[in-house]
Amino acid sequence: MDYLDEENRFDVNEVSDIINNSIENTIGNQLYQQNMVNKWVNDVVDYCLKRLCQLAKPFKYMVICTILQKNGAGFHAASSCYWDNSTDRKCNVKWENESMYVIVTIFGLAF
Amino acid sequence: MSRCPGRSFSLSRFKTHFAKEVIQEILTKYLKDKEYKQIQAEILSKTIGSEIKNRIKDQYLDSRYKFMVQVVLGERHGAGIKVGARCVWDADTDTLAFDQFLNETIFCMAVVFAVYFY
Repeated sequence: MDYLDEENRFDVNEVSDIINNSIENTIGNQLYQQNMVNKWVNDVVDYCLKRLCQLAKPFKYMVICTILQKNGAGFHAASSCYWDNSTDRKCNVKWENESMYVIVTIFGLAF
Repeated sequence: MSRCPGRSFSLSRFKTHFAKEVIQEILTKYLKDKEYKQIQAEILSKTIGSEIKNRIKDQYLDSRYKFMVQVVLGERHGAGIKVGARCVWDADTDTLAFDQFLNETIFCMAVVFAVYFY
C-alpha cells in the first residue's frame, strides 16, 4: 500500500533478529525444566513485544511462542492467514539447543 | 442491517464460541481415530489450518476482520510442551479463540486471531 513507505514496512530480518536475541537471552544453554517453562515462554514473548514496540511502526503484533522438550516426539506447526498481502507479514523462527525446541511466530498487521 | 456503524459492528462481531466450535469440529474430523505418522503430519497440519481459516472466513465474509490461524500438531511421546501468546492490539475489537484435541498418539492445538481492520 502507498502509505506504507520503506521505513514503515515489516522487516522480516529485523524481527527475526529480535526473536533470536530474546531466545538467546532468556534460555541460552539451559536444559529443559518443567517448572521454568512458563517463565521462559512469558519472558520470550514479553521481550519480543517490548522490542517490537520500540520500533514504533504502525503495526499490531501477535506473538506465539512454543517450547517443546526434545525426546524424539514428532512436531509440526502450520499457519494460515486471511489478510492484506501487501502490508501484513509473518516472521517465523525455529531455534533449538540440546534439550528443547523453541518456535516463535510473529504476525504483524498494518493498521 | 442497520446503517449505524456501532450496530452493524456488533452484529457482525467475531464470536469466540462459534470459532471454538469450528475448531473443535475440524480437529475431530481430521484427527479422530488417527495415529501419528510423520509423513502425514505436515500435510495434516496445513490442511487443518486452511480449513479452519476458510470456514471462519466464509462466515465473516462481509465483515472487516483479518484472520490468522496457527496450528500446532505433535506426537504424544512424553515430551513437555508449552504454548503461549501475547498481542499488541485493540482489545475492544480484536480477539482470539483456541481449542485443543487429544487422542492416544496425537495432540493438536489451534488458535484463531481475529483482528478488525478499521
